Amino acid sequence: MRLGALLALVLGLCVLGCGIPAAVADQADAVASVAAEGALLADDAAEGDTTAAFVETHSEELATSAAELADGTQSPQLRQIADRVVAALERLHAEPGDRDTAANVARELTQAAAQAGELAKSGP
Amino acid sequence: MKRILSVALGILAAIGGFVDIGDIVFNVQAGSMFGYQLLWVVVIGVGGIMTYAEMCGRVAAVSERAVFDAVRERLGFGVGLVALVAGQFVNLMTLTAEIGGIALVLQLLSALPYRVLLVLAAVVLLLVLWLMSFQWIERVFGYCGLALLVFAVAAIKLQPDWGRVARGFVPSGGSGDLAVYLYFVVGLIGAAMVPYEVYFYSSGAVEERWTPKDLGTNRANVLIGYSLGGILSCALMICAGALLLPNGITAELLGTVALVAEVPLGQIGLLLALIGTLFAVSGAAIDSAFSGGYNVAQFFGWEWGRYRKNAGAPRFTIAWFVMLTVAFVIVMTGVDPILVTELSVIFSVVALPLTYIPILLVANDRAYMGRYANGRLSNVLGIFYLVVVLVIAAAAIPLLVLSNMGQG
Repeated sequence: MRLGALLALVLGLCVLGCGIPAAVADQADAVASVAAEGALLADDAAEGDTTAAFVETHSEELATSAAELADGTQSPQLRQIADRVVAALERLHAEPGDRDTAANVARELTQAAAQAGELAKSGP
Repeated sequence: MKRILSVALGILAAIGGFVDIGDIVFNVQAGSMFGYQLLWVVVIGVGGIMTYAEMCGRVAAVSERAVFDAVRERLGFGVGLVALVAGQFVNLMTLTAEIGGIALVLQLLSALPYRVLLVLAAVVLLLVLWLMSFQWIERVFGYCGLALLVFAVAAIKLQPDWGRVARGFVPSGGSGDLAVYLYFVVGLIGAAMVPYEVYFYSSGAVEERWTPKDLGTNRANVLIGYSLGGILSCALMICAGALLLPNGITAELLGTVALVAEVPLGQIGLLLALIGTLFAVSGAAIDSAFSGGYNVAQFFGWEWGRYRKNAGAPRFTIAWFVMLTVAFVIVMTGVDPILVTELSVIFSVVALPLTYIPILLVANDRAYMGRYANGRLSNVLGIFYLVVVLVIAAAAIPLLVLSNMGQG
């Protein structure tokens, strides 16, 4: 009984504790990670090296991750970058087969990843 | 041809057990965070599962009895019951994660709604478990899972720094957050040595009616199957280390795993990665569902086995059916399969000693095994890995908390 309660407590702490990092630098790293991954995905979409179903699904998952990070941060600058990442990924999700859109999204996300990376280096 | 097909059990155990959703997630995450620094842990994990799977197969071939028979006999009813409950808890978490994983892969292939695909996954699993013979399950899911070899090709195509890859096979303290590094050491060994692999493997040996004449087949299954699993694990980590780490990407999603094959190999790489993952994760779901049925049936002395058909072993059939149903209900509540995967691996580490101690005792018992009891090499390796298992079992939960589930 005690062991069960302990396991439930550990599970609860882990589920509640994981996800969004507390420090702005870590949050910025997480935004940079999502943006960089989105840029790779968009690049492949622009080159026609992927499938529309994969782009549609994975861009949505990444947009959800970026939105959670945007909601969880206290830094207005990081929130702005994260919101841009969400918007770009949502465009990719809406038009997964459009190569021109994908090329534009790839450029925007590469830029956003670099900005978030800079913020991570300068932040606490 | 017959010889090639005879190693299907090992390949299914490796593809559906070793390279399951837990292994895929942990290897890619480890590679994205630590590059090639944790490759040595894969070797430790492969050695561990090879050592104990060989013992399980040998015990099954000699005694025609599977692991949980031995657990109850050796540990007694009370401790055996604790082992059963712990084993079933981990099996249930694993099965939940695998069903969610199947739906996630199907979604990446089709873009259909996740919950619809969860229902589809559960129905197809039910039909496979109900209708397919053990031999055909091994062949279809084991061999189709070989599509995962695309990650080995992707690893070569990504042109990693092979000198650094080679250095990764030498144990090191690792750079960065020590708690996170150790969390991945524990997670990678745990993912390689999950208990349901040996439950399934030993029960599969009984299903296939192995006798002492099949001990060569047992060794071939273990060597070929788990070496293959180890190669795939290393390939996943190398891909992540070569592609994700330099781009500052931390793997959190199953789609990221497919992306590491897509970037170097294009659409064909993506499709092979997704199909291979689909069969590997489905194979793991089948392994863990059957393991749930095997464990209960063997512990209570019920009739069990696919060779008896469903009506011939009704309580065994009900046991795996209940397991599948409960896992499906849990995953339908909306829990994140990747989170469940990570937790299931860490909790399985805690349960490892309860699985591996009785196997070592039985395989070493000359009264039970006769001239097929453990030799010196098996005992040295068995005791070494038992110490490893005990250490990581004690460290698993503290590291889970200290590393914030590997998030740092």
